[in-house]
Amino acid sequence: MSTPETAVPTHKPKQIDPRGPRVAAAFTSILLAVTIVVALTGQNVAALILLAVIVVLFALGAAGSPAYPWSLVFTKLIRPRLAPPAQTEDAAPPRFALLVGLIITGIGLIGGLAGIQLAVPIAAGFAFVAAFLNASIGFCLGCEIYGLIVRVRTASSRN
Amino acid sequence: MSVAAAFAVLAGLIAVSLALAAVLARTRGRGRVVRPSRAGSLPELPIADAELGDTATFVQFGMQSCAPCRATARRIQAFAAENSGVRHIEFDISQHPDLASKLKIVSAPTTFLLDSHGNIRVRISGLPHPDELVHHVESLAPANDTNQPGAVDVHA
Repeated sequence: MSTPETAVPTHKPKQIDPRGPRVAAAFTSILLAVTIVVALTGQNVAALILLAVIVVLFALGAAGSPAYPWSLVFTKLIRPRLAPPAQTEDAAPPRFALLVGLIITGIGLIGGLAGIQLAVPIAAGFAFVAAFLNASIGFCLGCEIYGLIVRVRTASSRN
Repeated sequence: MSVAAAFAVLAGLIAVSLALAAVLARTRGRGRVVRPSRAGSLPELPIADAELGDTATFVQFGMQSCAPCRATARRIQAFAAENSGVRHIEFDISQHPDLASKLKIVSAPTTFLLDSHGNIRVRISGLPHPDELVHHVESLAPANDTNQPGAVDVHA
């Protein structure tokens, strides 16, 4: 994130290394798995704190913040050890996917704070499946949703 | 809930995720042969006969922002460059919402393999596996024998 973006041609949207979001999804799914076990064993306060941390992480990522920890871990620690990516991808769809994660875990957090204890592991469970698919096979559910929204928007703006 | 039960629930969730990943990995990128009765053909697509490859034409519906779409375009273009008679045509799905709904395209990229007559023969969702490109183009080859290049005007 500290590298200047000047190398990116101006006509192209911001590009990222596609392995970054997958690494972030792997870390996120571990955190979500821990949250699920903690919540199910009745440690409600600890589960809420964990889920709140995940919500903040999703929010930082969705906002494109340079302080997004998984992005820092990837660019500082992991990418220097890897070969350059075969290709880059648009930053917008994976960022939207983080927004979807933020909404799902945010609903769980609000539910948990409102006293609906089951909301925490259920929300974490849905987010876990999505994060797991992204980390394991690179299938980004949020990116698919992003694509559908772009299509609907373009179609309605044409009419 | 006991710790053991909580871990059992987590194990179940991981099993579901693994099953989903396996299904997605097996279906995405793999071609599905379209039944002739349900197959669309060239008139539904904004492609001229002259644009068709002599053997096969890959018609890809993608989007600008979609990473697997660009990977798909690169892969098919490379395949078409190595195989004469194979062409690649790309459409932006968001610019053709009518086609997208007619062809029931949900995910991007969706690629159709057309035979030399312009009939849709195979449908592929996601980034196609390289061996799938070879396999499905080879399956079209017999039809190509009866169709000489230049005599493509079959649906007049």
